[in-house]
Amino acid sequence: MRQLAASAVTPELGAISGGERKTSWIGTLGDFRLIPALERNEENVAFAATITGKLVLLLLFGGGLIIQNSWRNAAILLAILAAAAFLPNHRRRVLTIGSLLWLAANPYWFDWAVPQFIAGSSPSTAGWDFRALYGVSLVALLGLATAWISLARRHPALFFCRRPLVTLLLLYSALVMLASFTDLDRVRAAAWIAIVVLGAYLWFLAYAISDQSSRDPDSPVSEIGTFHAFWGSTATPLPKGAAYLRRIESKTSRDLAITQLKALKLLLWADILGFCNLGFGKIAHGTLGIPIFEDAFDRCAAHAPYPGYLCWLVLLAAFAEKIFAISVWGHTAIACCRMAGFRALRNTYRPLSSRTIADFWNRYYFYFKELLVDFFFYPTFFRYFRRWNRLRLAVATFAAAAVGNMLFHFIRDIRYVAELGLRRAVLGFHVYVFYCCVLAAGIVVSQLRSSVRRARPPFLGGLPAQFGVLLFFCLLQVFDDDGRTHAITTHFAFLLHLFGVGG
Amino acid sequence: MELREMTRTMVADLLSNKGDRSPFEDADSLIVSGRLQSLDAVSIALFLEREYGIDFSRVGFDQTQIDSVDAIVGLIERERHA
Repeated sequence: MRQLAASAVTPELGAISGGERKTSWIGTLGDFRLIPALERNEENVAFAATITGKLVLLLLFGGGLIIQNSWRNAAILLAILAAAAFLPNHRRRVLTIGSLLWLAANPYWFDWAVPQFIAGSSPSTAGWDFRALYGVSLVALLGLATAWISLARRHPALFFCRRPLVTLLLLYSALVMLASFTDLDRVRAAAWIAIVVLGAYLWFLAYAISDQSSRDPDSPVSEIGTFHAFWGSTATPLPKGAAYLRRIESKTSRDLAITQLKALKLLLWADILGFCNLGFGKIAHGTLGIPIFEDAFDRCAAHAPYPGYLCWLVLLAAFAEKIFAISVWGHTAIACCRMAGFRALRNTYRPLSSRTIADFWNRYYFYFKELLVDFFFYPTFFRYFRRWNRLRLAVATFAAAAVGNMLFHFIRDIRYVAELGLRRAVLGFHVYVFYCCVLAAGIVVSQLRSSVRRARPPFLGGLPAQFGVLLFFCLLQVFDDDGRTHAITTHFAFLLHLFGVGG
Repeated sequence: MELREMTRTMVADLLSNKGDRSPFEDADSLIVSGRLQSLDAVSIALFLEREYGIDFSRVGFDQTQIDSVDAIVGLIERERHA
């Protein structure tokens, strides 16, 4: 019966799971620890739980922060983290106050160029104080969020509380239409301010309102604390929303000590990777003279490409630098989150050890993938094609990796609509649409094939599979362009040039 | 086989497919802790749909509903009595 239960679930599991850990030779190599596992030593844990231990940890952590931040920002972060460390029973209040303090200290964390661009192009808004308007719109957004969250607590069955993302996207689209088609300059400028502010917080809001339908939702004040929390995020909430934070909060002083020791290790690793990235850049672009990707691409677009071998080196260097950059940024943010007492998973976890495309996508930018899974994959998977498991998996994956991915990036780079107009901005997005479709197709195929692969031992320890995955993502980055400068034909020309085809 | 034991077997099978043979308690977090990925959660949901007729389009899907053996068993029992 035990075997029956196991085999009853295995085929579907194999088809869907993308994660495989520590079985490849790179994984085995990865077991070597440059930074010792401090949290596995009970004496370290006991010391970290004392007042002196907390102070020592904070001091060391502050030293790590200064490497990547200004003194001012490192001091603010350290003050918030100290409050979180010494007031564990008030951690969520500290998070809210800390995040608002961080916002006040660094208010222009998102793309604030659009309203200024609009102001510059319109004489009737020339006298507007956009900084003041920005402040007002930010306060208005937080007010709207508080009201919406409160309403969702009391009336979860209302459409805009039950389907927050659909409502947010409709609202956002209406604002973009208004800004694009109104003849009134002042209305357009005001609409653009709203678009920029709403776009920056759209996914945070979606998480917060969705949380209100859970069994133990947070209060509006606690939810607001997760809106671009002080440890940093992009438009992608790190690490997800309040519901996730509740699950990963350290419950005991021992838990907290272990989490903080892990935080220190992760920050140290981020700093090491940051230095490696710097060194890599100096050697690759300085000593070896490998051009940067944009330069090589522009040369190709101008029909004067670098030699094929050099373009390969350009592509490989750009790929390596991308992985370095996202690792350093994500590790630093998650290290701060852990130091505040939340046992968050890393944003990037050994992407080079991936043996499937789905696994790489999971390991490369975990919280972005989670956002797409939460808001696009699950809703599609559980609503449509429920009789055909493989089809529903494929459709849901496409909804997340293609549709959700496109929407996210179109909203994130909304400045193109202001600069080029809606029509040209949409048409110019075709390269990224292609990228998303190929990515989604790769993930679907990888998920469907993984059950077959798992049945037998990996060929040559999985090395060819790892190479194939890295090659796929390395080549796919030729199309990972959410700008609007080059047509897809130019991207194909670059790709073909890598293989010696064309000029 | 008892419900809890079947659930444990299913979870153990899922973990071993990922090369994770470490022991786990019934209350241990599986998804939030990172031992299982969000897409593995779909595998558990499929199992619950097929074996226990749970309709996630009706009850709503949330990873925390199936984050541990205890949570999965609780969900099945709630749906049985619903």
